[in-house]
Amino acid sequence: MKRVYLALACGLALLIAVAAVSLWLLNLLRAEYELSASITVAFQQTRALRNSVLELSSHPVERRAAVQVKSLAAGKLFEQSRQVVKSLKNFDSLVKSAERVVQAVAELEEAVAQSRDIAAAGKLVEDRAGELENLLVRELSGHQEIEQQNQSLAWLIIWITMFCILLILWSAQQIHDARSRERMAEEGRLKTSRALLNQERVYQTVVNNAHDAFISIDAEGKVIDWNRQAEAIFGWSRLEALGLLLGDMIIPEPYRAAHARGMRHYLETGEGPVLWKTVEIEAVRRDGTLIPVELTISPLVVDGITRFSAFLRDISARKQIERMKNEFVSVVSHELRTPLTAISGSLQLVSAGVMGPLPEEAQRLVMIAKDNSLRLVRLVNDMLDIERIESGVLQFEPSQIDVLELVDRAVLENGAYADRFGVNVVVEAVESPGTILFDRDRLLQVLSNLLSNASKFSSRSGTVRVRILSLVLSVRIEVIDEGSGIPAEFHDRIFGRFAQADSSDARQKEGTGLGLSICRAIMMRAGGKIGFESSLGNGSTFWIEVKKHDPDITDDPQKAES
Amino acid sequence: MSDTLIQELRRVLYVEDNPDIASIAKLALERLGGLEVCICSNAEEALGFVAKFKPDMILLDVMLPGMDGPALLQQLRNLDVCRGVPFVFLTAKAQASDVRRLKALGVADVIPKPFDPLTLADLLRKIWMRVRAD
Repeated sequence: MKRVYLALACGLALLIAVAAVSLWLLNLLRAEYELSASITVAFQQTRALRNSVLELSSHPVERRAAVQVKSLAAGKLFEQSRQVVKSLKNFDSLVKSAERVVQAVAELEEAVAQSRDIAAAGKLVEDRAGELENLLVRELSGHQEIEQQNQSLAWLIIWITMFCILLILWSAQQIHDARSRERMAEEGRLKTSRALLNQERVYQTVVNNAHDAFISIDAEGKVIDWNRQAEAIFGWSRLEALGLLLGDMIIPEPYRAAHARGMRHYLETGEGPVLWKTVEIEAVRRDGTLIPVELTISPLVVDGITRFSAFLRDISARKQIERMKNEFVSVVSHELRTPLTAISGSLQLVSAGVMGPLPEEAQRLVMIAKDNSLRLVRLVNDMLDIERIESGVLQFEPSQIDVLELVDRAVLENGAYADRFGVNVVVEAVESPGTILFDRDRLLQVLSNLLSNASKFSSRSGTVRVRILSLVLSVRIEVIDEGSGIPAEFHDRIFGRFAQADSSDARQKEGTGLGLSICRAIMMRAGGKIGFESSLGNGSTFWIEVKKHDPDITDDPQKAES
Repeated sequence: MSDTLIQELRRVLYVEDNPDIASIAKLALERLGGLEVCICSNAEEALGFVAKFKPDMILLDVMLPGMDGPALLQQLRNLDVCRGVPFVFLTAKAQASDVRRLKALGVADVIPKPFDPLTLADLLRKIWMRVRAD
């Protein structure tokens, strides 16, 4: 761009210089032209003089007056020319020659006046005039040369001028282009900044209308963003909060050191175990009250500057509901069990004939009441179980379990139930399925459930097989029945609550419809697997898989969970 | 105390605030189990009766009006008349964690409600035998 401006300046300067030179040259040309004109006039006068003298010699008397006049005129003209031609190269010789002509004319005039022989005087004038003529011709040809030179100079000037104009036009075009490019770039910048501004507005709107508090801090822990919800939850306005250290505001005293440590650790190593995860923690409000919050922290590095952003949700209400739910579970546990204890206890005593024999029909009704009250007890137990497993209230206590021993135990416990349906239970085991790490009571509960289901849904005098398979990493226990199988449309709901395939099936009365739901909840919580294969008419296979326990591996996930 | 090995379980004190459950337990233990049962509906009553009744075993409900089961357990243990007497909790709060917590108090056993009245006496005798054997 600089070069273009330089070119433009050069062009302009050159043009001005050329203009000046042209003016000078024009002057010179005019002077030269005038000079040439004067010389030409002088030449013509001189020739006229010579001719007059020639005429004089042939008509001496008649032309006297005319010669006189003409010579006077010649002398006058010459005087006139003298003023102009001072600058001529051969000025002196011209003047001398002219003077000599004038002198010769004067002598001629004198000879005429004295009526002497004018032939010699006339010859003198003629010669002198001839000399002058020659000088003038020479002078004139010299000036023609100069004129030619000046003409070439004029062409040169025209070319230079054209070049200058082209140069100026070119630089003007360049400058114009550059300007428009700049303008476009400026417009682009404006557009970009407008887009950025809009984006910022969208961001602010989203952040401000979020249901959660949004807080950002810089690498020093100073607040750099604080939305409306943060204002509402914590009590500091945005303006008050900006620039303050977050550690001194909402983080309770006991966590402050850990917070600072965590940030430092991340900045040094890029690792943060709590980042990107939803964590529940307590936070302090401005008035000093503690509230439970759920938050997700994510770091963001922009242009090498780290900032941490977090969405925080006040979960006081949820915690309250959780507390209420736990209380409810506890109340149900106690308040339902107490009357159930009384009802089922009474009915058991009456139906057992402790109070004496009942009429046959009364006995039947009491049996119905007793069976249903016991079912209600199971239902309450199952409901509580599933709630406690799913809510995580129930603590699992993993221990090393000998799979074979556990299966035998489950089969033994289920023995009476299987007998009721006339079902034979067979265990098919590999030699050493190994040990697993699991909550013994809970696994027993799962196996009992699967075994009782298999017994219940087997045909009379059928066989239920329990197969133990040692896989590469886990142990698989399959409970295979020869029952009617599970209809395909029921497969999706089999592990759901209160799920039973055929509600008209009399056997449903035996269960609560929660057994498999509990089994799945237990297996999911403890990191095991549960599933089934079944088709209508071909029996069912329910299986569970539990990871093998290797005592050498200390960081066992199930151990870690405990 | 060699005679304690052959001593039978005869007298059971049951502290239970729910009169229905108390009467079912009393009926079951007396009619089916042939035991002598004294029912107390709260801690004060139990503390008053225990010296007079001299039970072989004491059954405690956990949730009682006023002083609760565990607190009553501590009080009763301090009495001479309760030396060597096994305690058993009967509780509707029978979650594993509750059972563990109660057992940690040093009782012979924890029986969850609802209990089976037909087998309750047998269950208490089994516990009795186990405690005696120790």
